[in-house]
Amino acid sequence: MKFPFLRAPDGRFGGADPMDAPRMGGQVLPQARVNPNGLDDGSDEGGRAPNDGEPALPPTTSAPLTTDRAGGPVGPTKIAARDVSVFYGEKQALFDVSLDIPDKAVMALIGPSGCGKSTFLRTFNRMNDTIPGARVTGRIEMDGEDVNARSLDPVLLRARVGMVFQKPNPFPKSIYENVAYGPKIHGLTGSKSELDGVVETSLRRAGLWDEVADRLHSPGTGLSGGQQQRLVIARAIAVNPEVILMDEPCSALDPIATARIEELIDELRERYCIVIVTHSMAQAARVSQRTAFFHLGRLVETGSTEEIFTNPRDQRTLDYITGRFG
Amino acid sequence: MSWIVPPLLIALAALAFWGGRRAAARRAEGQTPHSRPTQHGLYAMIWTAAPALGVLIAALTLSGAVEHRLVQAGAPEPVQRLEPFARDAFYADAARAVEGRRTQQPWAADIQPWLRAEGERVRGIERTLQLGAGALAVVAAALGALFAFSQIRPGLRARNRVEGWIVGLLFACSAVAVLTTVGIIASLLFDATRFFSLVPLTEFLFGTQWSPQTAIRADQVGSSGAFGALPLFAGTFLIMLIAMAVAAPVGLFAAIYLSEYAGPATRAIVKPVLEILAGVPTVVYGFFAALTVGPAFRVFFNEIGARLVGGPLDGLGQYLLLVQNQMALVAGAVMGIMLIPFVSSLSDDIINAVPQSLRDGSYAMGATKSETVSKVLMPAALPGVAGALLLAMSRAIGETMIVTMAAGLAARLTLNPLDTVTTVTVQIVTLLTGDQEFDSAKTLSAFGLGLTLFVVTLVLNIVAQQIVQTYRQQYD
Amino acid sequence: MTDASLDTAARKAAMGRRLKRRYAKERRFRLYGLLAIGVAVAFLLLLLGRIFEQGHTAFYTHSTTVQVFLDPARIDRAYPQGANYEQMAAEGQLARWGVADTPQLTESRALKQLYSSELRFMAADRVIADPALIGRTVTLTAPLSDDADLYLKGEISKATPAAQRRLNDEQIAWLDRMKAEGLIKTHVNGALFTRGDSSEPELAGVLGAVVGSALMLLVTALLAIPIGVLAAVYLEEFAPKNRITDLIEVNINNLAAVPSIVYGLLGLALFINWMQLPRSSPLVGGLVLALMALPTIIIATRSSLKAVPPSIREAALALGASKTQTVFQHVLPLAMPGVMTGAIISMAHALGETAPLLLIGMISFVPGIAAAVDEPAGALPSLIYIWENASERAFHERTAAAIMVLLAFMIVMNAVAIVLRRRFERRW
Repeated sequence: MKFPFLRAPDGRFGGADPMDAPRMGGQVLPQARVNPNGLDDGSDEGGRAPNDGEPALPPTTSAPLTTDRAGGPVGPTKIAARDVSVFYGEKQALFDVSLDIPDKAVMALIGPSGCGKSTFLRTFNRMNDTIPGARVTGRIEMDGEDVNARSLDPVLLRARVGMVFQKPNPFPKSIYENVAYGPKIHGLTGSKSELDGVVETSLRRAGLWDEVADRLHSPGTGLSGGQQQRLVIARAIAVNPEVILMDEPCSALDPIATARIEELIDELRERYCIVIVTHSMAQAARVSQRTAFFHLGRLVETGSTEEIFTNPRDQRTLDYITGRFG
Repeated sequence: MSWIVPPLLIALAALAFWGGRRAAARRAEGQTPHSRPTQHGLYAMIWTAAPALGVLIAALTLSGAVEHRLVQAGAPEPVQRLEPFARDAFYADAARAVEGRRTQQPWAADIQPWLRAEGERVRGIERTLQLGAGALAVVAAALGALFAFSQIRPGLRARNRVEGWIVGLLFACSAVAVLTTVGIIASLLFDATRFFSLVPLTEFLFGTQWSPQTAIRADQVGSSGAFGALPLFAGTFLIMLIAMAVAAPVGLFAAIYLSEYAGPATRAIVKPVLEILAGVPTVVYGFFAALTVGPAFRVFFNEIGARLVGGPLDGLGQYLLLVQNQMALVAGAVMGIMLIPFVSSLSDDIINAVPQSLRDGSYAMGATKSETVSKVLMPAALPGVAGALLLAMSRAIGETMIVTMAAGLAARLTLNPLDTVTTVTVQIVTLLTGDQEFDSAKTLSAFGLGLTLFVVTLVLNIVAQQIVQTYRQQYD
Repeated sequence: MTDASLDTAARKAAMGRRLKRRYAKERRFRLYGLLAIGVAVAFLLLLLGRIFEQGHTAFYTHSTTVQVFLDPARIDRAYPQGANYEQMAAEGQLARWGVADTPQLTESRALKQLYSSELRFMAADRVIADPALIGRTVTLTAPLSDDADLYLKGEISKATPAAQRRLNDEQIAWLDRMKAEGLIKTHVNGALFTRGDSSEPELAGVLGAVVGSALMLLVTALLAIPIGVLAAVYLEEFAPKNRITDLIEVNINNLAAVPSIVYGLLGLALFINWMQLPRSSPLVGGLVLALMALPTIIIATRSSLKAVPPSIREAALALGASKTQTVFQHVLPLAMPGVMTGAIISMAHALGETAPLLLIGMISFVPGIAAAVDEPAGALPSLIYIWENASERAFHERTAAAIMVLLAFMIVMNAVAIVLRRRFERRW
């Protein structure tokens, strides 16, 4: 399955991965002649042929889908963060971050290691509460409700906000039991057949059903890495969350498994609000509609993915994208 | 006289060291020697000391047996006729007589005059043996020194030789650990097989009657003993069950609380408490069980019994009035408390081995802490916990002092915790402490019991360690 | 549950209801954990409290001032030790009180029971030192018998029926009278710490057992620590990593878990029966305990050695040091704190072991104080066992006191180990 690479509306990049061409200028500097319709005007400075050997991208008019990924329709703001800071004891990890996360879309958080992306992600489902000495200030609202309010139970919050971790962590139980865990503890189903239905639906949505339908009661840990990660996604989906947080979900997987997961993310975003932390800028570019760039605990820049990757406003963003650091 | 030997050997070794060092320096003759003079000195010293030490150790180990045989061989007739236990007492008194102290026992007229003579003779034998060993050691040291000096020259790889000796010494030390196991198995097997030649194995393992008597004199009536150990196994098992019923839940929950719920303040108090509990000697637990818990439980059950008498549960009431201090429940409960820190610390290790990612995954799903522990952590930790419990069971089976002081001597085949039972370990102690003739089936049965105990605990330990090992590898 | 079946509000309500139950379960679960810890803490407090309560009375005792008329008719100058001095003292005391005695001397015999047999030895010593005292009256301060002492401590009460008491009413009345007349002194029970074991509780002390235990631990330490550390060095640094060394490791782990009584059987069969070493001596006890402590020391030393980072070893080797030099000049010194801590804790455990000692003969009554490792001696744990079995009531408090002494030694040793660990531990 081929992934269409990053394209700018003007088709100038033609499938080049910005990381492949570390030259300044060319692909990322603001160009005077930006064609708002994304027509390919043929200029290919600094760009390279797409890796899959395809010719340069057809003009926008014959491929309206190209705009879907780059700044396609997104839902209303699902999570609004204002002046969020996180402290681990005395050390401050996040400095006054304010960000809006839209629903029914994928938001990518990028930045070099240790810049606070995962910390920020974990504030949404209050997983920082499990770390002794962690303190969160600022306001985070989901659908208008303050997530950190005392009246909001983290247990219920986490049923609405699912999480997928870097290393797949299925429980040492059967595949069925893994997916059924969430519905069972929250009491979401009434009967065994209902639960069976939920398990099947979740596995189907995660794209795993066909592979495991005949061995639902074998251990979840017996699957391959990519399958385990999809199992974990199915587990998260089973409680019908509104938001799915993904913390570098593909970094422990091989490229083929990664590709499948990215496909899955693309399907999932039609239903859920997805926030993904990733080290790979290519992945961010492939998968997300919005991107936020973090550096040393601060939010540097945010915008639609194509803007960030083609036309960043901040020099630091530019430096990171062109591979000068990180 | 023999006190002179150790200082003499030390002096010889020191001399060898200095002499070797000087010789090495002198013999260097301008060439660059392989090793430094100190190392040559060490070489000489080791060759002096090692043979002597070897002789001394051999003497220490064997002289007892050799002396025993020599004494027995030359003993006068009346003494030879004495039974072994009496003979030991005779020679003890003979030693006292020679030292001018009063003898402990009155002796028959035909034996009395021999006391001094035998005492002198034994002393003579001892002296000869000591002198012989000492002389042999000195000779060995001298020979070794001669050899070493003949070898000292620039080309001698003294450092390597010395290091070879050092590694050899290290190896010998680790051999001691292996030899201990061999020794345990050998000594148990030796005497246990003698026992099983007297009492068949099937009677021992499956017989239900335990009254170990043997004839003191051949003509004693009613002397055949019954050596069916099944009641002992039952008693051991019962007390072990009660102990596990106390230790397993309390220990597990304590471990869960400490690793998942407790804050640093609680941990700072509770961990030392558990360590102290683990360090209290079992004889103290036994004292506590015998003098506090036993009477308390008895009074408690008697009270209940008194209230029940005359009512519908009259039979039960009558029974409860008769329970004694030494009921199995007492020993089992105290043993369980003794095992709590053991179970708790093992379980703590096991629970901490479960990776944090599993906990994170469960919390991220919106599970409460208790749900995470009971539905994710404990199933994941189950094999490890099973191994820990097996180790605790093995400990309970082998425990001696608590049961010796708090449980009884009545061999009864029962599973009722309010009965008095006896265990394998109690019987071993009873059989071997007391006036016993050593070769009788009665005392040999202690070795049969010991062998059984060793085998059972060994199997439990090996299985437990295997399980825990496999469990740990899963998460590494 | 598909998207269609429950809308968000109804779902929230259902989950909310269930949430209350889940939190209730959470609270119960947490409570069980607290209860478990509570049981452990409560038991420890109960144990220590009870021992203290029973034992503290043993630290003081009562003596009485008696005047003994050394009747020349009853003292054999050639053998002064044989005279019945207690009888003379009792008769004298009765005479002073004006109490008449029966022809069978029942009264004085009853009074005599209130004095300790020590009185006889004290009087005899006086007479032997100065035979001229015969015919005169001497004043002695002698301990009371154990039953009298118990009464004065409140352990024997007049309320119990006379048949179940060890002192009859008359004797109790005499004791009260002696007390009223100021003849009774309360003082620290020095005998407990300065004397060896005795069949008379009032004269029994722990010194013999303490010395015996100390000698035994000396033997154990001298044997187990060097052999254990060197064995661990070999197994960790020099032994090739093959199946045999794996087997040895399994073997050592198993040895650490073998019941202590099996070691006692080994000691009996090997050291006493085959090597004919003296029974009940600290030498044999020390040997057996050394074998028991060996696996623990090996395991502790190995883990300390493992904790030293390989970079240290590599640096030494790269400078040209041989393997032996690396281990003994670099690795072992760095591992020393852990090794020492492990060794001290092993010794503390060995101090408390009782079962093997019973089998090698330390259950016998040893009155003296051992002067060498091959003389018969007692040991603290076996003393506790013997005293616990004793029938005299007065031994109860002394057993508890002996336990306190034992626990004190163990606390000191463990404290030393902890201090060592804190001061010298390195965190790599």
